[in-house]
Amino acid sequence: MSSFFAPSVAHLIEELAKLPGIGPKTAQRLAMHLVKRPEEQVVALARAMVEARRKVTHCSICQNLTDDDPCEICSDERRDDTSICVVSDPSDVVAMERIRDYRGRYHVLHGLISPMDGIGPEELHVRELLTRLRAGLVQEVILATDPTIEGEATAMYLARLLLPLGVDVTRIARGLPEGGDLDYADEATLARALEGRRSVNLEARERRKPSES
Amino acid sequence: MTAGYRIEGIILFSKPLGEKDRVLTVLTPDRGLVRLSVRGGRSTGSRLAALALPFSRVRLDAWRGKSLDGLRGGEVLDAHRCLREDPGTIAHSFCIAEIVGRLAQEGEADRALYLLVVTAFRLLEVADPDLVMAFFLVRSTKVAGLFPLLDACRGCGGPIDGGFLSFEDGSISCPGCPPGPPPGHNMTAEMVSLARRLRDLHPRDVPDLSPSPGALVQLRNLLLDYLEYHLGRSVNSRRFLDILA
Repeated sequence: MSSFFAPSVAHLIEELAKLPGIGPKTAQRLAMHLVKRPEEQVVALARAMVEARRKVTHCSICQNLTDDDPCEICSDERRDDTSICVVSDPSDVVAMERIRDYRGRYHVLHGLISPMDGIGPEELHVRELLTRLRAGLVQEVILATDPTIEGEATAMYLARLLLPLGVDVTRIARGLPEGGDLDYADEATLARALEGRRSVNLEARERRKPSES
Repeated sequence: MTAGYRIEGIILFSKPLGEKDRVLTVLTPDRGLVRLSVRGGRSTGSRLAALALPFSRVRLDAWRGKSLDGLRGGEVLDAHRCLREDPGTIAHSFCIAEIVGRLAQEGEADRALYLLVVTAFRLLEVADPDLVMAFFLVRSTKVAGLFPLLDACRGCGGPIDGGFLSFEDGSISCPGCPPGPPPGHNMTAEMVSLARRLRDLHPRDVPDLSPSPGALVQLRNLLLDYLEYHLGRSVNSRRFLDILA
């Protein structure tokens, strides 16, 4: 399709189509949009891309993407050193931070165990997590991987690896979304929600905990 | 509403598609592999997400699309939750799914393969995963018409207790006869006997078998090598059978 375009545009379409979630049609639309923009806007975009690529690095502690090492969260002394929340991707840190309720540290695995794609524990940042735990400060590891089969496999694998180290290993709860109707819930979600039910009194006490501390 | 159809099948794979969607690969008895998109299937609030869980047996309503059909709704017939709750069984289930994904074809009915997968996933909930894997490999080579000729020596035609299995022609030769064409591998008497039993046994009796762990893993690895040779490509998930077990 791109062979009918000028070679430079065809090349741009080809490069854009390599990005995740962008098919040939979208790549074509984006390319046409870019070539119609004023030059300074396109140069600014290109500069932002190059600058981000050059500056961004993995935090040597939590492996999150950062411009400065260690990252902002790892440098924050007000954070709770006894808790680490393990997530698969940097975007999960952003999602967790949005709730403004978690004050511990993070560890980013940069992927999930996926046998079909040949991604195993050694392809993830598991070794760095073990090094952090061996320092002895951490009391709880929260496994916040996706509720997919890859997320579950990773969580189970990590739990088996971490429990012998003497830390509490917890998994984020699964169940009904806020504001949803019970009769619209599917069987798997409802079963999980029922399995993970908690005493109402306990729940109220747990909710009070952050303000008490 | 666009025209649709209903299928029963087992979900082999569920992969992300674009920003919010998923694409399912479903093994069906009548249509072989069927690929379906699940709109919004990656969102936590999606009511279709629970129908997109790998290894569950489902009845699905699909709509016809230009290049890819889509999931409209359906019900879970057998969730096989146990398969998704232990790294060992997850690894074995993935390996079975990957092999089936290579053996089955889109649009080609294969009821025997479908029933084998249904049986293997049910067995994984109750039996030793390595034993189920060996059972699945033996039966899948049989379904695909590839099961080695283990009842007689290719040279002298006599009964055989062990010998060289030729991957090329699936024959076995006793130590006194010239081996079949390479590549291949030696099979011990225990491996040959176990392979024959798994070939002939009723599936309900599989959990009662208690072969030596060594022979079981050797047979599993040999059959994986044999299948990879005939499929012409490696099975990615096989290395996880031991890593995650």
